[in-house]
Amino acid sequence: MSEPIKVFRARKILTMARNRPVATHVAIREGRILAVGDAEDAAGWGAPIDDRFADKVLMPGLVEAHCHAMEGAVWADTFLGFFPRHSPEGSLEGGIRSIEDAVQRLQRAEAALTDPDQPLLAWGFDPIYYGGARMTRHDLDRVSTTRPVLVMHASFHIMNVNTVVLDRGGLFQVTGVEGILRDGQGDVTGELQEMAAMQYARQAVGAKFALTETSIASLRRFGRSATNAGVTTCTDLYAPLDDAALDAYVAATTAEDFPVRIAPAMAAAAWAPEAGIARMAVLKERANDKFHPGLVKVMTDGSIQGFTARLKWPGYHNGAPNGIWNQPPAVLKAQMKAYNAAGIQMHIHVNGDQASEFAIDCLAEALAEAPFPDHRHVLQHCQMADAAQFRRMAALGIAANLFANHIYYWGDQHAALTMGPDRARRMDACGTAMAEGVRFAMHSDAPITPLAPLFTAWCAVNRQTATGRELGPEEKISVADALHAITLGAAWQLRLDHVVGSIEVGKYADFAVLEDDPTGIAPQALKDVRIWGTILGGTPHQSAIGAA
Amino acid sequence: MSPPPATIPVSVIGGFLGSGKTTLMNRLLAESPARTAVLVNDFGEINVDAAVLNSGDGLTFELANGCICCSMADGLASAIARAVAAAPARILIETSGVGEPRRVAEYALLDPALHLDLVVTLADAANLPDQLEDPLVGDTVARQFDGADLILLNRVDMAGPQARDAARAALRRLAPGRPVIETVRAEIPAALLVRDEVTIFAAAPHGHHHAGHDRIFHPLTLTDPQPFDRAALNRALGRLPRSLLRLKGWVQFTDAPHPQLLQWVQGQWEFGPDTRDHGAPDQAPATRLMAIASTPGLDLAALLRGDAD
Repeated sequence: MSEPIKVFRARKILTMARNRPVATHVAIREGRILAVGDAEDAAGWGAPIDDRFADKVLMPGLVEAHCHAMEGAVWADTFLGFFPRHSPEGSLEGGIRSIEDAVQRLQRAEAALTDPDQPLLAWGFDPIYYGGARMTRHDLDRVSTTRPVLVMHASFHIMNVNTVVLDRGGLFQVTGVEGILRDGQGDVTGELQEMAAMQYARQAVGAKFALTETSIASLRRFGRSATNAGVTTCTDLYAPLDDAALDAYVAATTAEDFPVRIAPAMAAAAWAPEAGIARMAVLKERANDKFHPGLVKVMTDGSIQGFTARLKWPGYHNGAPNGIWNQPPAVLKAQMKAYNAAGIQMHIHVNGDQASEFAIDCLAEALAEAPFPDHRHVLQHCQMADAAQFRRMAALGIAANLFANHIYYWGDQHAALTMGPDRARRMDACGTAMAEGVRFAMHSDAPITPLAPLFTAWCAVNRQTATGRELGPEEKISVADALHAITLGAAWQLRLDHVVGSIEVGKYADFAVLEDDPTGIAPQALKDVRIWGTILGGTPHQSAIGAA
Repeated sequence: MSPPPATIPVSVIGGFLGSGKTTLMNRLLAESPARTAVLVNDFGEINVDAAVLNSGDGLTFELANGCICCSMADGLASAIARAVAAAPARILIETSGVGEPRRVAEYALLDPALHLDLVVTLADAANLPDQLEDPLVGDTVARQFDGADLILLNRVDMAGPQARDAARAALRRLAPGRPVIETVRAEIPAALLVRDEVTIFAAAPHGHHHAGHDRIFHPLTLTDPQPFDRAALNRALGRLPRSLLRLKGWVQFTDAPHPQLLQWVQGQWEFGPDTRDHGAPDQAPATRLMAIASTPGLDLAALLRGDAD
């Protein structure tokens, strides 16, 4: 006995399907799409029409193929970003325009804490925008002289702490550690750089940043962020997936009201290849319709703005030394060969052009030794690949997931410091990828930048930096191509394009519910499209952000 | 600034893939005195078959000889915390093949419970010249020699004379003034890396005879009933030659009733408690020192007493 049919009518339905690109009615049964059509078609479906979305625009639920579940955890701490951002609960946070702003925001957060010993933690602080001003312990001492205060920078590689933290950690007495900054008078400023100093300070005061936990609660917040952005399918693209995390995933995704499907990628570095391959089989046994394990993530280099990406000649524009490998290249190559031979799809983190070239070389060798039809290996970020690399990728069937948000958030810095004005023009080259026949998607890397595929699409379409400069207009793509990338393009990369990414019969009834038609506005307005929420498997979930 | 007593000495062992780090770690695990904690990247290549106790999370093993082996799978900071919890007498940390030993050593400088003893970087004599030329890894390999106190040019038996000369020249450029010891299978006395009770140190270094090789480690001892002038000895300690790798033992000063424990390594030294606090056997006031040198023929007495100004 099958369930009753539900029919939604909308102002417009953008299906992303070739045979019927636009519709107005969709029929749903058992959480799947039963039929798509117009009023005339719907008359024959024999079901009442639900008009609640009659003035809305439906799209396939958006797909984010590079983000982190950490997006759900970081919000437990105070957000100090320069750019305003919505929390999963829908409140507008950040928008910190000066160090004074940051101090005031922290003072408000401190006043709200009841336990006098609880450390106050903040994240997303980005002084790059404050004209060379640097936060010191004296700023943070105005927040508290009794409670540890720790402020993580947006890069996750620098931290500011107050005097309490330095005292308890004995950091005033330490010499010979580069990561403990001192001012011109030799005074310890409270700015701590790199892992040793940061981790030690954190340990000394028992401060635990929320960002590493995978719990049912953090996954549920992650789900709320997804709903706010119109996202119904996403990933967690570097998941430890140990037993505790796996249990949390299964528990969260089996809840009736959980609003997003997740295809996490297992962190390759956490396992020896044989163990990782064996682990993958264990993960797959626990899959359900909202939990789709099967991907693995390989980390090669670091980040461009952190000067840790691996670059080819001529290297960093400002002369900084070349970046780092997360593991020896020979180990990375062995990892890639092992997973390819086991028939496991890889997502490979490559920021610099030396890293992307190295990954292409490894995959060429791996695929020659162990052919893997329809492998769908993806180079993630792939920010500096040049046209020749894209041509090789096309020849080998390697896809790219480009970090288009970087154009807006760091484009000015890339032109000035890291890449220089010339190479910065071809960063995140969606245009070249398309021209050379590389399947591509684009991403936010949330929580590094906000989870918002329509904003990401806007970045790829307009290539505008935060200061309004246009960075490499030749690499722009059309709105239609951008919308494809954030639906079917990303779904294909998660190996879920047979069930999500377009509105077609048989697929999950997953939709982004929009107030505006992204195809009916100026391309410059794409980021301003208002999102009502989503529908997942036929069940509506409303955004926590008031679509005012 | 000498650290307070009761801190745990830490040595860091770095080097690129294939330089012999794991060989060295296995040797140290087998030879070190009990309560040595060894931190490694993964247990895959370490002989933990001898484990008698498993922490349960599979991240810490206690071996039959009383050594502790910790995995860094959940990060260096927590591995150090787990090691410290086991109250070890010393900690040895193996960095990853692309790790920067100096960066890892910073943990020991930060934590008042720890004390940085020695940073050792291994190099593969057969492949170092090619590695340094490799655009993918050349800069990574070069950075590993930053801040190394001691360099082991390992696998010299596998390197042709050309490669060996090129490797020596590269190390003179990358680590000017730092001692370089040429080794086979990373054979060095554990005592060189372990700041331990002096008795261990008295054992002669072993296994350093190879076809075509002279001994590469030369033990020295000094027993002297004449007490030392504190200032004069400190001056002498600051001038010891680079070929002296480690010096330790009891020093009888003119201004103290009991001998004091001296720990000298790579130009850094400190005087520990005197014999009474240290539970050393009650002996006549006299200086008893042992050293390891990388060249033969050093005269310890002359080096320490030669300060006539």
